[in-house]
Amino acid sequence: MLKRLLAIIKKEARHIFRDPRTLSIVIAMPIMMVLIYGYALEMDLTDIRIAVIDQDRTPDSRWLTERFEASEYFDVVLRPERVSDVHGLFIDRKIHAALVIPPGFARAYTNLPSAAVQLLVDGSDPTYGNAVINYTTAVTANAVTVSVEDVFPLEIRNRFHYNQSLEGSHFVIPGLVAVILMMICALLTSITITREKESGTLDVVLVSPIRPGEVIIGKTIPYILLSLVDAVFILVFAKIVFDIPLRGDLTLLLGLTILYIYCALGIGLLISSIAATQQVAMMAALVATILPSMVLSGFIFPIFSMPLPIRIITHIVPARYYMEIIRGILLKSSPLSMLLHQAAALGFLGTFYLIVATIRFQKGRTT
Amino acid sequence: MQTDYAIDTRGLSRKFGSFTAVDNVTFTVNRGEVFGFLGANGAGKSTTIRMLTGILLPSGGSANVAGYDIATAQEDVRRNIGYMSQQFSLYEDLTVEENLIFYGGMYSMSARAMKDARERLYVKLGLADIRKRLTGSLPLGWKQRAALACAMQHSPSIIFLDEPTGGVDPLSRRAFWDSIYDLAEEGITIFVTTHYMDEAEYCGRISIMYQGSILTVGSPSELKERYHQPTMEDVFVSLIGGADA
Amino acid sequence: MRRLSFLIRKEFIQVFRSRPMLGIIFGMPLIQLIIIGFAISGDVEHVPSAVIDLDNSVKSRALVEKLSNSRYIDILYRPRGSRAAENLLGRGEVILAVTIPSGFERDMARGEHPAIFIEADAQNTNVALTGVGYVTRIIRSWAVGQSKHFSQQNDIRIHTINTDIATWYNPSLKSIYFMVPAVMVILVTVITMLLTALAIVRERGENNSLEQLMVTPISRLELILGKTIPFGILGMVELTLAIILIRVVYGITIAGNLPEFYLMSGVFMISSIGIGIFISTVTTTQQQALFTTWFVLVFCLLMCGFFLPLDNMPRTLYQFTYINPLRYYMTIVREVFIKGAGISDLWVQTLALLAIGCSVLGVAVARFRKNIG
Repeated sequence: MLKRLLAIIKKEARHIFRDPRTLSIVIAMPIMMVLIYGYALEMDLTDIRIAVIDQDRTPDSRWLTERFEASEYFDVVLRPERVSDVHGLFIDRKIHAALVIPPGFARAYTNLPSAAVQLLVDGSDPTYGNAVINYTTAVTANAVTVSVEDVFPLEIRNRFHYNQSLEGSHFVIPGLVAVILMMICALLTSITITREKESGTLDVVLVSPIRPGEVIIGKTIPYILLSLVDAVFILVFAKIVFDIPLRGDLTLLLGLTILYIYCALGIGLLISSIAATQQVAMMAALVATILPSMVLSGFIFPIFSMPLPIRIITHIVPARYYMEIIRGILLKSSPLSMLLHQAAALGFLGTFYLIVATIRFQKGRTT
Repeated sequence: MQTDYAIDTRGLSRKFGSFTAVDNVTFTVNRGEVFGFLGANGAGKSTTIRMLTGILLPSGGSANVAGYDIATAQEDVRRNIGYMSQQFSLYEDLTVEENLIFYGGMYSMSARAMKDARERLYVKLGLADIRKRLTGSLPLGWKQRAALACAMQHSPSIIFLDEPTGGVDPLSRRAFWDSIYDLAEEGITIFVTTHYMDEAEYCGRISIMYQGSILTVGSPSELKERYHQPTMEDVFVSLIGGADA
Repeated sequence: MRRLSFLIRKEFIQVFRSRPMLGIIFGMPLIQLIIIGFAISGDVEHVPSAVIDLDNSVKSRALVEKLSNSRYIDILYRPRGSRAAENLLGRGEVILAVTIPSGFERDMARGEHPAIFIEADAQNTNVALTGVGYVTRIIRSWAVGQSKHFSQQNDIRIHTINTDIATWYNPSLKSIYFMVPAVMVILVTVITMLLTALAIVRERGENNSLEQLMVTPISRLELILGKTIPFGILGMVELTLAIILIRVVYGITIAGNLPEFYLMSGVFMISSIGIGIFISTVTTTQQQALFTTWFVLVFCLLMCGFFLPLDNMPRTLYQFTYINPLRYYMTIVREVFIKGAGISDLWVQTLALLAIGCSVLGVAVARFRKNIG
């Protein structure tokens, strides 16, 4: 039996290496994603373009304007005359917000407990919108002559765990591993079996003494190895270029990664048991694996922020559990005892998908 | 180049880089003739056909097909010929009828003309019962008939058949050749390539190609006499086998 | 012209005959639109948190009360022990742990500035910073309330500047209005780019019907148009369905001019279809076509302003964005949806798309002609 298995593995491996285009993409895509995500993750928004409309024109209002100009968060690019200009400026995307200092500001500031200014925000990009609001309130709060902090009865101390330097890449790149593994495994597996179905060579193979189980194992082992190599490759690459942390038990990670790949395989096989043509297999694989693993796994968007029905759906997305595993191990040095829940979920899901796929395969053969 | 022949090639050549696939090929095909184009695999048959059907430009020489020069009047050539390729290039996910309608449209047939042609072909080729079936689901023999229908629907003066009976059962092959003879009787020129030597016997004249060149041309009886062989198969083997040795 | 109509008919028959394909082309993307739209709200809310009140005084309980009333954080645990924070964070049960030290009320009254600890799981820096921001804001505003009381007792005057905030076009700053149109863009692009590439490669590959087609009198131009027009039409249909769906499910309508939007979308499709054709000329199997298209798609997506804001890209990467059709189309979609911009506002983008589209299509067609002999 081992001989037959090896024969299939060798054949599949030859398929892979004779298709340099797919191979190069399987390698190049992760590199590209790591690079782009890694470099682009300086998410501190600075020098946000704003306009200041000074309707007061007093030394106090100019002082406030200067506070904004001096701030590294803002770039005061325009000083329009009228508030009615702002809409046009927003449409032309010249500014993200406009600060309006109303007439009477100086008087209010001197004589009354508080003075008001108005901030007009371009809400079309919430990232900038939120940032502008936060930064503005920071500037105005710090602008008062008496430091409010002095009269605050308490102080606040922050401590950031697992990612002291607040590097975005440390968070995203392990996540990328999860996404890419799912993609390569499920996609390739689903296509490879469907391709044989289509060209009729699957029948030929099945007629030989080999058993269907052996066929499946033999066909998928090369892809498992390819995925593992890819995963290691990404992590090493990221370590070199971005110095991501590799704390924790790496052998544990290896073991759990294989479990995750097992899941991805299950999905790939399920798809190929359903799809009659390669086209269908491809589209189904794309739709079933890539978007869920990027969006519903906690990769970028936190799951706790999602509405309940969506949160429920995430429970059948294997990437969700693996995301916690790989981040847990690399960033938090979590031991197995902390990850039992996730490991069990992966095992269960993988077996479930595999069983359904097998049932469908049997049905297909007897009809 | 003026010619009365259906196909008239003079010194036709085609190179791919340094490799010469077709080397100085000269032959003629008469109108209404059933011409067999034989040769070993890789001899250059497909390349020649692709030049004659206007898909590939020659590197040298010239040829007239249906009265038009293949180098300068490709569109005219294509309008007047029909082609049935090795893989019976029908759209598997379309029905027989839909395939016919599609190809009819490719030859700019009017809806009326198409309908008439279709009805005739259904009867002639026995396709009436399967016209609504997906061609992908048909057994090989029927696919072949459907493909032939698509090739002749627009009443071309020449039909090119590239290995039309590959893998088909003997009964269907006989029926196929009966249809071919019917066409020839109507004055249509048939240019067919085949591996089956018994089919070679059915042809009016034959040419045998080897490594890009034409070794010989003539009717089956002429060739058998010329090379002192009892069957076409023997002629073929003696020529090609000899050339190889 | 007539011949072209037959080509288009055939393509449509092929697409619609396959029930799974239909489900995948229309059903799946639209389902995804719904799910993803809701998932990507991007607003950080309900951050799982723990509050450890080691003081258990009137004041500390008041603060805890204030924290639990916020919708931005969800207080899931109120443990007693001081190690609880580490524990809960380590197990991933909470993202934030707020510890109020013992002696809090007493120290505050004595003016000794007790320190509240906020510990955050900083893996997702965005979430961590936002979460800490929320808690800080809540504590501060509670503290100001205390402070005024305090300062009145000690007669210190504080001048503050209050900022009135007016957010235009998207008053709740809900990311959904921002993200959902973007998802729509992705779907439309996938349909046009991927299906075009697959369709051409399939014709060349399996039974080589491409060769059969070439023998017929149709011209190269008709052949290409016959492959692109159907997917352009499908793309438009998908666009329309998406617009309707977005309206029905999310209540988001296009603030801008609909015909102009379709026009600009059509210009975009020249690019996406052109790229699809180009890909079909450099690949030989459907699998290759799939992976190549996927690669191009992911690259364009990463560099278009959807997952990552563009203004922060390093210089060299930024150059690429100038020839990325998705970048311009993404801008168009958002501006039209949210701000109601029209062609007159977006003429730069439209022109860029036209230029890119025509160049890509030109190159693709040239390669295509060469490929088919």
